Amino acid sequence: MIAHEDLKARLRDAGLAIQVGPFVVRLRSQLDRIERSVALFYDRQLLPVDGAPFADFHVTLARSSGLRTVWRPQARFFLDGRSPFRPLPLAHAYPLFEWGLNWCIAQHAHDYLMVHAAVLERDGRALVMPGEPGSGKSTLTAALALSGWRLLSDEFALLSLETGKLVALPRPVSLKNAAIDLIRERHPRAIIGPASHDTSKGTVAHLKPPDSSIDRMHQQAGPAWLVFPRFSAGGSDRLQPLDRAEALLKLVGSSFNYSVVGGAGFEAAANLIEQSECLTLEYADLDASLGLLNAVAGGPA
Amino acid sequence: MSVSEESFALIPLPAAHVRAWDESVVVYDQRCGETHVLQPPLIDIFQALQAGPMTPATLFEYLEQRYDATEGDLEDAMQAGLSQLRQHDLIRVSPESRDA
Repeated sequence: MIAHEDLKARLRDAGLAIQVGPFVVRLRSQLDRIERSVALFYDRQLLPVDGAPFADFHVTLARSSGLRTVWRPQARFFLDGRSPFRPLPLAHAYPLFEWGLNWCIAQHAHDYLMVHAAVLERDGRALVMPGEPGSGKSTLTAALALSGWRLLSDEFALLSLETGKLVALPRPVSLKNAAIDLIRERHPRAIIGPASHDTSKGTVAHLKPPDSSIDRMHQQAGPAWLVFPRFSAGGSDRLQPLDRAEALLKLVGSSFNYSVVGGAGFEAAANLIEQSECLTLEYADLDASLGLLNAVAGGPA
Repeated sequence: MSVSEESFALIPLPAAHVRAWDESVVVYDQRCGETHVLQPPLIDIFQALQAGPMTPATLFEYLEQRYDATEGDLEDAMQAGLSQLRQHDLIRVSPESRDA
């Protein structure tokens, strides 16, 4: 564990090296918000300076310069000294870091079929949950991760083209709007950072993954269930079988790089389908849906 | 004397790029990156051609053994299926020579 003063000094100087699953991120920033959030969420993933000579992504979060930023301070994301996005309000600096890191991974990690999906694991068997925004994916993911499932990822399923297994990318779970209080109330001891209001996704707050998920970040998991959740307010909670061809099309439709990785991506996706029970989940009540998912996996975690 | 009759052949596909699941066959075409989902009766035509090139007559015979349909309906279904496979660029048409 790194003392807070050391963390601050390194963040402002040579940068912190953070192990995020298979990637090392070198992060520099003078922003207090970034410093506080990294100390809160990534304290267990910081690498010793000497132990991390190579980084996959060199990221800087900096305050935008210019006259306009005097009364509307903004934060800017840089990868290798270049800024691929427009700046966001300074109050959104931490979400900007997480979204920027998503972009870095999606642009570069072509040893994997990358799918916009949550991944959790029980007894070495992975549940993959692709979900559109508003599907309830992150709420389900947070609740499962806080009740005995291992979190591999909230946003990115990394399916190794080499092993066909899911690779963990433990990062804070992005909770939005009503889900923030819902998870706070159900899990008062969960570590949830400060809320960022009025982002493009509404109010966003991040949940720290359980320590056990971080400690096991290098353990891959074989696919066992592919579940497409759909939030249905006032509906009834139910799991239904999904035709495998349709599941494949939905899976690759949620991929960031299916067209980039070619035949290897198809083979990985098709193998995942063949190894998984393919289901849709109509989700209305959190307890009811958690019960259904746990039952599929053999009972409460 | 030699008479030419067209025959249909599948494009070469790696075995790992063809998956038969339930009522569907999923095909990945690595030339263009397209993923196709084939359903009956397209599946039967595709699977027949996996054994090797066929003329329309032999393909018709193959389908006739599997479908309880009138000759006209079967012919229409076969032509529609072949047309779809051609649209997907999954089959090649070639003249076939034979002695008459």
